[in-house]
Amino acid sequence: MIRGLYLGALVVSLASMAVMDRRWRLFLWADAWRGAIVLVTGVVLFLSWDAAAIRLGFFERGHGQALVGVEIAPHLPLEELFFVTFLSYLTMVGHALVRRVLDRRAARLAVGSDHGIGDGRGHESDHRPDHQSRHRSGHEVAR
Amino acid sequence: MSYLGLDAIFVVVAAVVVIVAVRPGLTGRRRSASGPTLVDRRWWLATALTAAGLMILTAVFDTMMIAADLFRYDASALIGVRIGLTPVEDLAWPLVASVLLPALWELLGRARRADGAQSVVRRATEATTHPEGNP
Repeated sequence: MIRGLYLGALVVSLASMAVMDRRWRLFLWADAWRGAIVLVTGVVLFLSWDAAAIRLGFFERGHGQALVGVEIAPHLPLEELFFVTFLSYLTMVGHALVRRVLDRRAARLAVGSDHGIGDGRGHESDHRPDHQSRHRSGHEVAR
Repeated sequence: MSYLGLDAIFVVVAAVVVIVAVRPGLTGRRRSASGPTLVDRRWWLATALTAAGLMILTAVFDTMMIAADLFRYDASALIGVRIGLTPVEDLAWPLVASVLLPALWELLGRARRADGAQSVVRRATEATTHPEGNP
């Protein structure tokens, strides 16, 4: 196993999330300030969870060759910081993407025309008047 | 305390955040007659699908990560049920992530809208309950 493989995989995965986020304006590219608060909250929450589990003796670091071997705290490898960031980012990009698809589907059912995933005009960021009526119709269909 | 007990604390925290998010009366200006205004049915569907997807990914990738000896568990702290090599307790992580973080996102959006920014979600809800569009 290649040393640093895990960290490398996490960095590539994080970069992939950023590409999708930017392409479809899902999270940080939809609202940078709000996204940053959510991301930092996720990182703090999951690192607390890790710290508690390590302190209680539930987790300990492994000795796999794919780790770079740097610890940011006893038994907490550097990779974990990237992992909890990735988990939080993946969650928000995934949720926004699913939400976008569901919204578009409901709107499509309402107006009977076709819309793809689109160009980043999300349900939270669009101010065009026709979007509101589309949305309202979607609401009625959903009920 | 077991690992499951520790998970329960974080699940409760996530539940509290989502309860605050589904109750517009707590922080919102008005409770809609049609029920929750912020966290609607489609939000729950998106959350459930996200949670399901993340839990599958967790089971798959945790198994690979445990096999690669990236981390270890004290077996005496686990209830002993595993999916692949993944202890079921680990599934609380994607569950909490997919409920708490999107709920926080919605709450922050509401706080921002109170400052004057507009949201289509909010406007759509208001348009439904007040067709004239004037709150």
